[in-house]
Amino acid sequence: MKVLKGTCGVSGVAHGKALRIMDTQHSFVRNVIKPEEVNSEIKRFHEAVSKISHELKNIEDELSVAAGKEKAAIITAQYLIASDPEIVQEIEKTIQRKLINAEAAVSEVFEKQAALVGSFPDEYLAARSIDFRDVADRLLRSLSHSDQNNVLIDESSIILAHDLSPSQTAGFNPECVKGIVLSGGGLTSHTVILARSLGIPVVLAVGEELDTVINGQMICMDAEKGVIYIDPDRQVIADLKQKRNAIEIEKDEARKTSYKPTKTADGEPVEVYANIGSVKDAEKAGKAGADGIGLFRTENLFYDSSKPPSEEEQFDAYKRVLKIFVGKEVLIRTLDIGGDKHLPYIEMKNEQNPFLGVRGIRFSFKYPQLLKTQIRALYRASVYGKLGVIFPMISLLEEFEKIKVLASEVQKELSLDGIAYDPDMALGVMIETPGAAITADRLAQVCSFFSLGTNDLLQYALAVDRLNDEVSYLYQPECTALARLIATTVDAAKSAGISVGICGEIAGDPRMVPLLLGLGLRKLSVAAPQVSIIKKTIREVTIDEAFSVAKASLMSSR
Amino acid sequence: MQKKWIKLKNSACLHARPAVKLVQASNVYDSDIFLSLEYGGARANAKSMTSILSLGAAQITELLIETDGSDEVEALDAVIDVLYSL
Repeated sequence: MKVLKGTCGVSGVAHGKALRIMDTQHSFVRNVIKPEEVNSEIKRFHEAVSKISHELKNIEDELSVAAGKEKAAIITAQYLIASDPEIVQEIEKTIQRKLINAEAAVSEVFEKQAALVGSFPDEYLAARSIDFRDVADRLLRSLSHSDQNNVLIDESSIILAHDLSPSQTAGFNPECVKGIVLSGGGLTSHTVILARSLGIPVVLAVGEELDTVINGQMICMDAEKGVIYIDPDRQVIADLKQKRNAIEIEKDEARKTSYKPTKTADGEPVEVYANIGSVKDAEKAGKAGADGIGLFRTENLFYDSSKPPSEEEQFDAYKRVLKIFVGKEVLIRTLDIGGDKHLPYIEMKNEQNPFLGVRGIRFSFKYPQLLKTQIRALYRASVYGKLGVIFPMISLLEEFEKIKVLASEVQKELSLDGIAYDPDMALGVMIETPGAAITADRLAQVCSFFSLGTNDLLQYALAVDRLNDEVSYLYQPECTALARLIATTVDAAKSAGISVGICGEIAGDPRMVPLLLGLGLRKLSVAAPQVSIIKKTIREVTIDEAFSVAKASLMSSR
Repeated sequence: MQKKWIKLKNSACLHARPAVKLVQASNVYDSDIFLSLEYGGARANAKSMTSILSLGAAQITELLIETDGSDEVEALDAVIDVLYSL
């Protein structure tokens, strides 16, 4: 037995036979052809195009079902590139004019395109050069008939490769592809995102030693630990089988016990709330056993039509969520526009740094009528339950003072109109700028609760654009900086006697639970599907363990 | 031949997803459909993914749409709809 170590891409346990997949960079022979061979070469090219178009279409259909249309769009784009009339024509011309084989023409034309697109200053556009190279690669494989992608995978296999393209990964059938091991590979790649949505465990960055594994060798992988075992002995196989069964049972049990109140192993009560974006989500969250709503993102109400939703429409949506979560806390965030989010009916200036620009509450102050209508709808809904309102992107205390003035104006108007509202509706601050976290002690004097928005807090604390592939490796939720900002916020809330919760992505990661509990959080808000597993994780941790994890993190060298 | 110069309310970036929407909408029509970022500038074939991505259109606020063919009026409307919805 041999053991190799890498890092976890997607956690899980798997075993199967090693199956090596060629690197995405394909080698081919550049041949000069005779004029009379032009037609047969073009025909060969057309066959390859129709074959891979068909393949990509199939992958797109499967992926739409497995992971949703949004994620499948990566493949749709590639399908449209492969069947693009302009590029087909240019390759035909290149074969004809330069008298070269289809492989050479494909490589030349696609490389030119990839280089052109890759040279654009806009990084989202430039990233599309990957799609051209990916399609070219698929065409080259199809032309040379060494069609690695379509190796019939009909038994439990563990795929080994240096790196995989998104289209290769998306093409895997999780029934047969049990796991993926890469010698290279970065965490941010689409490959990991796609594998996660397909439920395939991934181990990354194993290094060149992976090349020593031979096709057909038995492999076991424990992705959580980032370990793979080649020709594992019986003990390892038995252990991992047990672990896999345990994971399955855990999922089952978690679902069953999700409705019960959650306490840590030593009896400390913790609440698990859900993050939602619509009334429909609220129903799902209720079924998943959420103890409340920690974040209702209201943007969806504003995206749909050509004008903002009326007070009545908003009131109706908020009321319905409160009625689903009757007697439980529901925290609704006011419109959070700007950064990468826009409204179709409001013209916004181009900003050099949209994430440092007119975002969240800054946008709302720019369009006070939108904010006022929303606050009015919220006050009207407040009589139907335990409602709190979260204001996003607060960076200075004076911004919150301004909100309070606006809120009391709305209250006065409602009183004059004779409409019922709860004057004690909680007004809270989303702690998502380092400024707000550092001055949390002062904010705690004026607001009723905090909600930690750690996705942005981390991005601003480390000055890392989390959408930028080049630097996203720095986006590390377990870093000391974030732990300290959370600790500062939680301590400030506790001294002032106000409540504090967390609604960022990290709250939904079971591995982060001990740290968050250790930092003093007792209210975690996660996506509905994560509720049961997070509750399960909480039940297995003791506060002592959590404290030592937090203590180590606050002092660690990361 | 139909021509229309349109202004977008928000700036749009024609990267993968928006380009997919444009190509899929354009492919429904028989007419030729072209986009350009300025009068007399490079014209992109709206039925070609490559052509649209090659415009390098990040943060566009205005563009020219030209349609030519039997269903040019409907095609123009459809493309405008897609661009407004980006």
